Amino acid sequence: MPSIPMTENEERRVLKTLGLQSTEDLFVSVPPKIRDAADFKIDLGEMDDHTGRGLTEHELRLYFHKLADKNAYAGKYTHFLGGGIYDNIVPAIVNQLTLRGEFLTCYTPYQPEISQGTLQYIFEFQTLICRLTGMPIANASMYDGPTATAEAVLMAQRLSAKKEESVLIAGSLSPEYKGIIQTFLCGHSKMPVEIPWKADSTLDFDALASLTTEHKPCAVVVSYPNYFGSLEDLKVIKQKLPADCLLIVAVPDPSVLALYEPPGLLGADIVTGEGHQFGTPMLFGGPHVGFFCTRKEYLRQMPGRVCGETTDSRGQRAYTLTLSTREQHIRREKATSNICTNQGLIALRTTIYLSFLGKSGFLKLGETNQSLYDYLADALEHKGVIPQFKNALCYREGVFKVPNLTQRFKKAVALNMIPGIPLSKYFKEKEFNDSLLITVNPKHTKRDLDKLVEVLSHD
Amino acid sequence: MIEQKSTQGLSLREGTIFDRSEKGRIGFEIPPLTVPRSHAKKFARENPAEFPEVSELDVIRHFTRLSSWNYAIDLGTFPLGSCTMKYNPRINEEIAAIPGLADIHPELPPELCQGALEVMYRLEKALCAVSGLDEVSLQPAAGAVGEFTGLSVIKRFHEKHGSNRKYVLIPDSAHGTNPASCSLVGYETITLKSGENGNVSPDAVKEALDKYGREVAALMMTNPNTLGLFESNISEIADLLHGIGAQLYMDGANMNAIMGIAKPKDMGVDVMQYNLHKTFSTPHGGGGPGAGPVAVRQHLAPYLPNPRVKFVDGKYILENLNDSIGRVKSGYGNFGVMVRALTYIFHHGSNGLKQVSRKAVLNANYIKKRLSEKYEVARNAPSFHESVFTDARQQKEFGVKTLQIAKALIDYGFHPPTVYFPLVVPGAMLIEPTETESLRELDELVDAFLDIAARIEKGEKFDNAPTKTIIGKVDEVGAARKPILSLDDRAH
Repeated sequence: MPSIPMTENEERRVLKTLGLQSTEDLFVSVPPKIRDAADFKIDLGEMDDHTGRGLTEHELRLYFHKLADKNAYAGKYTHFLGGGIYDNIVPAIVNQLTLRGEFLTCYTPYQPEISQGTLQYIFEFQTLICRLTGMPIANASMYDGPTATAEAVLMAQRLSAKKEESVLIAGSLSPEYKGIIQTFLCGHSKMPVEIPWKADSTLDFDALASLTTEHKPCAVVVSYPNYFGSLEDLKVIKQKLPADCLLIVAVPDPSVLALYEPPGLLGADIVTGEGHQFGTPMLFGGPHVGFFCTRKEYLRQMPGRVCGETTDSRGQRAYTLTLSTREQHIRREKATSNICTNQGLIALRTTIYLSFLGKSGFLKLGETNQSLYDYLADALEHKGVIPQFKNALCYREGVFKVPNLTQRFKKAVALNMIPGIPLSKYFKEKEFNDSLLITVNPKHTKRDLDKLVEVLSHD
Repeated sequence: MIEQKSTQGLSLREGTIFDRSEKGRIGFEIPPLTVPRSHAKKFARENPAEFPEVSELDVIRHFTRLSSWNYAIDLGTFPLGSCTMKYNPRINEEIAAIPGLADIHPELPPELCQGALEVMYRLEKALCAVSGLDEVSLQPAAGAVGEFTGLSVIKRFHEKHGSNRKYVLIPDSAHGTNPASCSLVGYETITLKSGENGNVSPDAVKEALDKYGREVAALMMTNPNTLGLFESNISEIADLLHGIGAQLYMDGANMNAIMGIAKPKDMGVDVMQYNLHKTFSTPHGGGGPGAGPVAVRQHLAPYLPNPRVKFVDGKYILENLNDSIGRVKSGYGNFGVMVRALTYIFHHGSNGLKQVSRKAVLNANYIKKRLSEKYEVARNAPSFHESVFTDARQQKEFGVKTLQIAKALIDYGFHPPTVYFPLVVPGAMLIEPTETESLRELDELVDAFLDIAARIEKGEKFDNAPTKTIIGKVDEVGAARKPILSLDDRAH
């Protein structure tokens, strides 16, 4: 094995040093019944020659390229998929820089003297995320947008003085976000209550008022934009909440913040979201990177790692992980979260991407998504494929009623096109039978959009 | 004093990326618009996000300079105990970057992502084979999420069997995530005192079970434990738990020690989590991403996270279970990490994986033998993949502690071991060499440790170590007292 250097001679040398006859003598503490049954066989599928050997690099390439060809990847299919995961163009330098062994093969920066590279980019990541969301503090990153949002709900419950820990979540939140929040609340007695949406898919304020009176929630979770692509009026929502109820804003698509007011300026108490589209491919859903921001007064209840700037013994500027007394390795069962790391390498990709895209590039990214969507929505409506939510103010994605959806979807696939996410998968109401969530991304051109309109508007 | 590996090489200073910003400079360009330009119609952002304005070379130089301030496996031995810092084979990276495996959206209909589903299916089967357990969910994003998932599965199992249990037993040698995960699930933890050799004794378990009875939902233990020792009584402990319907959770953080040597299922384990970033060589990446798949015995399989991958009539399909605990991660988990782990597993094959554990254990014992010349071994029992030393001799006679020894090691060009963990060993130094280190590198590491010991005996204190790093000791108290967490927090 190329990655196991020990030769037979060296093994004998080690055994001699240890005063042992055979390597097997090292396993005497394993009861014989367990030791004797320990053999296993890995099935290498079509590549298996039943010798137990591993595959060479060449064979690995053959096998995995064959698997890869069975997937409808973005280079082969034009797709209009979104709903929380967004295709984007990844600059060459993001891959090149993150493959540097000093970033790739280091550990969580517990030893600041030999981890300044990691620590400084985390500090820059935190700065970028604060400026993105308009919030004063951000942590070193979380696993993904949905788990960051679940952690936000748990944090709101910790902050709450109330015994009953009700939480309201917008019905228009992504089904994945809802599902994951529910799973993470399994340790609590109350499950979140959903707030219905209005005809334009934004939050129903009357329902919000009556539900807050009834449940006295410690937090309300809304999404910006929501799963149907619509922007919510966060300022008004915040005004309608009782003083002791936190507003948690999930931003599954942070490119929206290029054009629209950031939640930090609109009354949000915690802002979470998913940052993978900034430099990381879709990767079938992960690894991605969640971000987590809050107000300064809640700092010590924030989950996850945080990097801070300080000085060293020589008077130089230096970075270190800080405020770790909130964390599991110190606080154990009383920790703010069981999380013991951040999403280092993906946070690095985000930092490189946002730095390289820069102030004007970021504006252009938002503008491109908005322009492509507005053009597509107009063209679809013109051809009789109408939006499900009237007068919705949408950014980059929206829900359309597509007649004969199943058939037209198949027709699109035959033309190497995946037209969107059929929402009947997640919403069982009859009104979602022919609903398609259609998402644009910066790889699209006018031609791609025209082709989609053509396919979706005819049988 | 031996020759130290670290030198005074050219290491360049660098401010933040924002310091390189120049108004109007354009960085990465996205394609020009092919449709009419439109703008926000409402809620328009007034002040654009203040991102830097830098060129491609600015970005390359900035991050390359930063990278040169990190220590990494690629630079030298990284004997961080319980973290399994083995070499990350580069073929893994190449395979994971294939567009057909990277540029795929999780909302693809199953018939359009058969290759991706096969990756998941084959990895699940491989993890079943190694553990002997019956089913695996790959969804948890990290070891800690794996713990949360496994405990949630246990909780759901008890609820479905009409039993509302309250407690999880955890030995005092456990990793901090174990009790934190219990709290997250809503279980209270009962700490078990570990025995002489750091092992969990059946008597201690029995005593706890006598006291708390059917209120006990599970016992969580790590095997080999955090002292690097095999829990020989694990089957007996499993029987005790099963006798009252409680479950045995095994933290699989140390699986690198026992592939082909002992299967968790044969030990009586009901559920465990793997750490793909440890055992299966996916890069730690400065703190992530990892992946924490959960393996279970058949009776717990109905509660695993949704969706499940199945192979039916020659096709891979996705299925939702009615009694599932639900989702714990978006998509299907950290798929990119799964691709790397499967590449590693196929690269090694059954024979190679078994060699991994044998060689990891040999290396750990070799270090233990050689270091015991100057350092106190915490527990005198056969070690598996890691072993624990203490600063007892250095501290008692010369007043030098573990922290100084660890920092001194940096000047010799090595990453320090895990220090002050496990908590049950005062002044602990937990050393895990892994199988990918050659004897030559291990000898150099040991020589450095011994040289430090010799210098301590001559009266050196190492209070200012490390001296050759780009920064000295950081003011951690200051960092916590007045947190500066972003550039905008700096006093102007």
